[in-house]
Amino acid sequence: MVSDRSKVDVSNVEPTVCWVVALKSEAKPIISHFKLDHQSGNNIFPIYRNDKLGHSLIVSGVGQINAAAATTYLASESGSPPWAAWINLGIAGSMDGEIGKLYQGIKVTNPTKEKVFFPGYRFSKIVSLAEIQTLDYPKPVKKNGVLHDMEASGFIDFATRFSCNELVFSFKVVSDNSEQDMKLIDKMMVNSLIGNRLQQLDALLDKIFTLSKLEKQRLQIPDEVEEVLKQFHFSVTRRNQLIQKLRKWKIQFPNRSISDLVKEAKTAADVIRNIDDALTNLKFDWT
Amino acid sequence: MIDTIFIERGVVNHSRTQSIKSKFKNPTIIEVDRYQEVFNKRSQNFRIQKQNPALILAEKHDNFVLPAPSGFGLASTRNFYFSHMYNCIYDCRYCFLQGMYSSANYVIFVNFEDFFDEIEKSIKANGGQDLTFFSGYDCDSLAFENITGFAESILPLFKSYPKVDLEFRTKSVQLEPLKSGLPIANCIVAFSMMPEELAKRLDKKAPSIKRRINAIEKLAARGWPIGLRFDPLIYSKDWKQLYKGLLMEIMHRVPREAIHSISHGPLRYPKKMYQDITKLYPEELLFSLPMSENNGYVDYGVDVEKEMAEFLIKNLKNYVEEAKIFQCVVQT
Ligand code: SF4
Repeated sequence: MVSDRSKVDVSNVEPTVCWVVALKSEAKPIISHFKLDHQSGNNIFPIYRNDKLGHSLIVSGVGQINAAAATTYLASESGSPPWAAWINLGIAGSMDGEIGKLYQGIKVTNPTKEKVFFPGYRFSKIVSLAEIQTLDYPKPVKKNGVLHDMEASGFIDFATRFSCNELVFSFKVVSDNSEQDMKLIDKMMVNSLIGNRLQQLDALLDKIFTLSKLEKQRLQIPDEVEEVLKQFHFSVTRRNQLIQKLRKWKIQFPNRSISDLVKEAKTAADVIRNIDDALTNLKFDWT
Repeated sequence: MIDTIFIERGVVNHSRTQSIKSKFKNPTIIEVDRYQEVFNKRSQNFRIQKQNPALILAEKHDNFVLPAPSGFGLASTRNFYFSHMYNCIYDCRYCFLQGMYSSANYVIFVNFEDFFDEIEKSIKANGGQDLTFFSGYDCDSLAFENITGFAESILPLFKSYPKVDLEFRTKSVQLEPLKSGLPIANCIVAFSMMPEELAKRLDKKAPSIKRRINAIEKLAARGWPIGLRFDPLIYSKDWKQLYKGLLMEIMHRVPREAIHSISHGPLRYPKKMYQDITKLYPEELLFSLPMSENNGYVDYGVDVEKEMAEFLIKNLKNYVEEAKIFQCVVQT
């Protein structure tokens, strides 16, 4: 049975998963599974969100240029943080792949083969891995182990500008192969091909959330920084120093309050000096 | 262990590619034109990738043998290094590879024979003596031996040049082919060491110090020359006590005659590398401890470095002659 993601408590209002999906019929199962709401307004591309669960989804339309444009648009509309995971989900053609099977693309080439990408942390225990060739028009696949799609390369090229390569994923469900012609594909079929893979996608998302959280811990500016920035004027260089030094200070003094460092300070330089003093006088204690 | 192998098209049919492939159960095989396509890709996340590195099999075309960076190696000889592999299966928190490469994937160059030809050329060009070749500058020399067989392949070459030294630098306790082979007097097995208490915190995924000492003991008993590498020296409140304990244990277990050389070096990074590594692990205790920038390097400062070096030398003097002790301060 597919789990109900809407019951998961994710106390985080920022979008941590950004979906880029070419067709509405591919998007529908995701929209209903994660209870995403359509964002009203004059959107160039339809956007759906569930802020409570941290999901945003954009319907890009077919083709790598649309995928690239929609990815950029979603990044700017959602204000996705650098630890957001980006997922391109859709159907793909194969020669030997079983209809309905989900793959993770780990090598993706663009139509001219000038660009090659190796996206995503690999989840080989949950999903089969494959090479994806993104094409400008549908074409039967002639090579085993290869999938054909029309968006992945455009998506990855741009998504990797907003998050790291390891948090950018392309998942494809096989819709046609050497035994089943692509002419048989219709909206209903697409809907059920994706819908049947929700349980597997949930398992993938659990892992993806973990990676995203790890990345968030690494990149997030400590709350205390904002507190201090409000009280003193920091130049850009000093601001960066403050972030770095406060991180170290927090590791050393996890239970102390930032107010200890700020209370005697009159300027930004005083704050930095106070942190330096606290760190310099440390005993290297590993125990 | 390895779920994916990227293979350069040019070495798909290489016998070593086939043999390495056969060591893994059902890996996904992806062909690539050149390994750099995967390895040097922009916006890679070393830290996430390190959780599940892929293997890349490639061919090396040039720069097989390079002069060792100044300060690396043993002072009395001319030092060279070669790297049949980039990256390491261990995950030592201080490792400079995490600041040097943007990828945590393992690259293995399968054309070992080209390395051997170039090493031989270098030996001949440099008069055939007072040379040391280091394996394991960009990886751990022995940790992946059961997959690559590199050490086994290179030993016969150095056997035929007895006046030229080869050093395997390692933390591995994977002892083949050394344990079952006859020792070669000019092939040194050098183990990186630090007090167990620190290794537990920092030498992630690497064998414990206890296991390393066991391995040293076994190899020494077989007659292999042993190197001890206290590099980097890690400072702590009780460092003297910790290092003293380590040295006592080694001296007690490893006969002095087995020691070829001992080297030590401070924890030190070029500034940019330090910044990159601390960005990768901002929560790491090691990088929250006081270090300062001196001449483009981030380190503990001259006073601490000197005190630690002197302490080590003083405590090793009764064990080996001073001529066998070297200080390594790498200027990368
Ligand atoms: S064993 Fe050496 S190469 Fe490997 S991670 Fe540790 S320091 Fe780096």
